[in-house]
Amino acid sequence: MAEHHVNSPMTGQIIEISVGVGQSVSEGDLLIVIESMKMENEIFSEVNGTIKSLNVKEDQNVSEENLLMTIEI
Amino acid sequence: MPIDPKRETWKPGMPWEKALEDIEYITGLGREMGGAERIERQHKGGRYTVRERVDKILDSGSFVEYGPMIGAAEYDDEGNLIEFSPGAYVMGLGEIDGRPVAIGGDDFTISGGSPHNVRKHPTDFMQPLASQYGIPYIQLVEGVGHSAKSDEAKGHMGLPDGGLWWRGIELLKKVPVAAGIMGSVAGAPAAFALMSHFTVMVKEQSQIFPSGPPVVKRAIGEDLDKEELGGYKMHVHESGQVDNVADSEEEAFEQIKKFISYLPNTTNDVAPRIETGDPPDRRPEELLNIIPPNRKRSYDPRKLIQLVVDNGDFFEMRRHWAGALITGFARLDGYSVGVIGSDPMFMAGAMDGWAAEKYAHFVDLCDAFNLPVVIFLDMPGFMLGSHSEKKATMRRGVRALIASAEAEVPKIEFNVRKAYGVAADAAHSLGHPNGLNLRFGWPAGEWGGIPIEGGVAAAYRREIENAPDPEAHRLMIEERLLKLRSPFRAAHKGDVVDLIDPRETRRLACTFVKLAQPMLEKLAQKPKRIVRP
Repeated sequence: MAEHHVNSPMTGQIIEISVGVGQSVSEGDLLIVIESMKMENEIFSEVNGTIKSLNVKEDQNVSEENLLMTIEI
Repeated sequence: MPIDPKRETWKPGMPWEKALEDIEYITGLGREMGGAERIERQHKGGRYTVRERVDKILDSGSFVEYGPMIGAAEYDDEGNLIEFSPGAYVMGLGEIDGRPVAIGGDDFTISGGSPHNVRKHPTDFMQPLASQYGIPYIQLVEGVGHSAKSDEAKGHMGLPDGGLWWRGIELLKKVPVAAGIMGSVAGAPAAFALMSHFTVMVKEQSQIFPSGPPVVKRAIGEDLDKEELGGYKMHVHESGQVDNVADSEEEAFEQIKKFISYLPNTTNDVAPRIETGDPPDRRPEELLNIIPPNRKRSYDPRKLIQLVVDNGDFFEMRRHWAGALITGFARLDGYSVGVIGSDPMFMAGAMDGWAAEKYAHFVDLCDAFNLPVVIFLDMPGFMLGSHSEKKATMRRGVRALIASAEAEVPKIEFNVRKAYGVAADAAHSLGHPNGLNLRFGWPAGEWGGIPIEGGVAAAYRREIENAPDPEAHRLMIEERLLKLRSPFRAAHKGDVVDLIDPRETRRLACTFVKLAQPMLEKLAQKPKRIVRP
């Protein structure tokens, strides 16, 4: 089992987490919404797998490259 | 068929027929490249030989080879050829979709593409020829450059003198140069590859670096495999060193052909018009509602571009790097154009240092090749924060701004949504002799020196702090200013040529590109700068 890391592509604030630990996701599924530069940036899954860990909470500020979640693939 | 050392070789005085037989024989030896075993190894690695690559990229039967007899030849005392090893490069002229090109590629089956006992090099032959004939140059690179063994053979270590490069540099000023990075490429071949207007590498087959893993480990102790060090994830996604990635060699060839199709043969020509069959007055209905009413929401900017351009055909360059900005080529009414767009789905479309660099490079490229530029702007400004500061965003942004001002090619802009601050100035340069004069606004257009939310917090800070209810006071001021954001007010002042129905975008863009053609013919005659990769 390999682990896929989802890192934040930008600095901003988590405004919505659309998945939970243990949930299975497919490529293209919405994972998380980050508000940055007054825009809601939707982060979609690039892989098929199961959410292994969530490393951020809603309202939390994140920096570019911060780990958001891991997906077991 | 290996060489036959007992075969008598033609000598002066013998019949011409014998000479022709021997030319065919020696050329045949050359076509065998590094031998059956090496060719099999190349194929086992999932890679084509250089001759197969040339055949696949060119129009069938169009290849005229340059120097097929060049190689290390040894004759016995009677004048018979007893040994022949072809030079490690294959090159010539040919056609792509009926247009002439010069092409060359390393033969990795011979000495790993390293120059060996005979000099057969593009700098001596193909680069001058492409320059002289004024035709695009394609290089298929697969080699690792200088070998320490050659120093031992020469008996001294040469001082690098830069003499290898000037023809390639001259070529960049004159004709389109495209490179396929076909395998592991290091040293001088890596530099040759990158001395191009367009580069593409093959996923998990190509790597590029100054030196590969063994040298890296020896020098700094870093222990990475070649894919980690110089594969597509490093150089197409992260560093931006290589423009595009392809899933296969065939796809890489298609990308090279596509890139060249949009460009003229030289920087002193205008790109050929191709009949696309897409009516210039087509009204893409979907454009009306493509921008969501909620300004915090994104839309697919590539779909927007595809709806406007001929047949939805958009060839993107540097897709995976500096994602806030989109750059690529398309046709409008058959005319070739450079397209710049914002991607609101990535960093809200804000310009960071990398996006600014991508912007400047692409505008330079369009200017060098006399391509009009069509811009679809949705830019909230420079990307803010420490990560963006580390990319020297403002200095690179200024470079983008200067590139825009220097570019003499005509530009047209559709302000599809946001345009804020100096970052948006990069696209405009209004008032400059080369400045953008055709700016159209969509109804979703909103622009200014700074977005209202941040602008109010900064400019009215003291007033807000001293209010009995600061939060309510801030909202009150924002509410007041929000009314000013209507693009109607800017249109009354002439900030845009017009506010338009988004469905009119294609018709206007096609009209502009057609009207720009005589100007392009004149610009083509001017001396050009080199586009630095």
